[in-house]
Amino acid sequence: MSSNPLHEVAIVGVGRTAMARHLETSTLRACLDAALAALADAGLTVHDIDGISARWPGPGGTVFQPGSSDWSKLLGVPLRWIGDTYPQGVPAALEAAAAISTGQCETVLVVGGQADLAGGGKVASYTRPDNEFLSCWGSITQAQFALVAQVYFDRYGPDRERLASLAAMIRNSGSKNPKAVMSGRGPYTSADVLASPMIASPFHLLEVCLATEGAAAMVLTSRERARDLPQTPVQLLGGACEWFRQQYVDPPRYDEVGRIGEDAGRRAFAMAGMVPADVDVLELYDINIFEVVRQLEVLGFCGEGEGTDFAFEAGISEDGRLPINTDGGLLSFAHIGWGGPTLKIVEAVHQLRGEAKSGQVAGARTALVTGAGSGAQYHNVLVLGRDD
Amino acid sequence: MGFVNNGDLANENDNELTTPFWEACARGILVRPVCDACGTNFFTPSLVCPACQSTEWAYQPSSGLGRVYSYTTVHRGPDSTWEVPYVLAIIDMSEGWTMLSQLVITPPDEASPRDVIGLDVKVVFVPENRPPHRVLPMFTPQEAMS
Repeated sequence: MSSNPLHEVAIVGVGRTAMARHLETSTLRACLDAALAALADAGLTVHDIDGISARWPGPGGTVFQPGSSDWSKLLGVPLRWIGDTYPQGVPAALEAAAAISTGQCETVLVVGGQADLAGGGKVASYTRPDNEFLSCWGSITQAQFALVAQVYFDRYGPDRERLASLAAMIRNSGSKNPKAVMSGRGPYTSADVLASPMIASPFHLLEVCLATEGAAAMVLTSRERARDLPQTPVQLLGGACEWFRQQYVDPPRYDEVGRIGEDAGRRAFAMAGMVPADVDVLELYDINIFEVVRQLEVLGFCGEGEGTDFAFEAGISEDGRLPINTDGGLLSFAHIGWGGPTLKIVEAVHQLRGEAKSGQVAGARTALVTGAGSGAQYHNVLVLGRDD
Repeated sequence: MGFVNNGDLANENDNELTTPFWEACARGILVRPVCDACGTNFFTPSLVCPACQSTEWAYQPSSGLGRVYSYTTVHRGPDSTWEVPYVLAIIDMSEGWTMLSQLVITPPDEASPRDVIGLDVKVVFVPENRPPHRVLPMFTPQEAMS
């Protein structure tokens, strides 16, 4: 493996609040709770951090950007570095790692989430893109992904029952996870999935992600410092992003974004000195079940059009050959908006430390995390490894 | 995907750049930006031509003829004021540009996406039934569907 400064950074603590359809607290309070949980997990206090990537959900603070600097007052600590990535998760981890490995700061707190959003029968605001050439047609987020999926379905005709089975497998991992929003719901069969209401063809309700509330946080520092901390560090082995075009302005075409993630995946695996077969557990960004299959294809686990059969035959539950979204994923665990992608890293860290209370993959030492997908027209990939 | 649409993340709405597009629709004409420098057709409108960055471009009338690249039948709208189902589609226009729109058709049998993908369509103008009450370019089959 060639030397890469990324390898000198580790995740040393993770935290998250309870996840729910509606949290009776403010976004700021939820973020603070997740942040303090991640710091406690790392064996650190606020005085140990000198970098923050968090934005500022209010109330209070200032109208000035970047919002992350408002956190220095809230936590009472001066900072050496701040970040404001969109979204969090993989881009935030990579940006923090760059700051740490170039000596701009030593320890970074990443935190984000959402709570107490207006409900009232509407889908969450972030699922209703408001661009003038989108909103007038009634284009919800899942419809954007559906426009990509329909071309794929037309071209490759995936086995519909097997694809629905994959959704059932992820949902059933959430069903038995006490921490999942959909805990206790199910278990589901492929027939249940296909019998659930259509949202935007070809997607049924049980094939698309939740819109829920909660917050997630992680603490990153140098590997050197990580050795003195209580948790087994999780090392950053490789990571890369692709940004094709702004999301939800121009419509996503399969011939433009159907393979998004291929380049990022190739670069991330090269940095890690790994190939897909080396990955023990996958936390893929399951906005819908088509994305899981598409991502397996572009990341090199199988060929284009082969993802459904490949995943079905391997099995994607914790005891399968290809464990995916072991906490229940965005389909069943939670989806918490802009901070949500960090949940994928939190679960990967739990897996690599052997601490997942539900869905633990025995002996997992390497994990793959992704964010976003084809309908969003950007994608990001992170390879993580247990560092002991 | 789909995070909070802060103002700084969304495109400017109803601005100088796009007003001429909606004004043309109100007159029953579909227009699209065409670059004076390199001839590229593009959509959505932007400050400069995405192919050559020339600021010299103008709206020109389109034939209104296109072909369905992809579609989805939406069964759950942005909120309860949307009458479902309706059919969203990506239309490849005859001049080599693309737009998102709705198809004015009976939602197709989900088992046969092939019946709609590749369908030749033409523009029709439909009053928007919610604010800001513009006239929306939608698409209908060039020939009656079997």
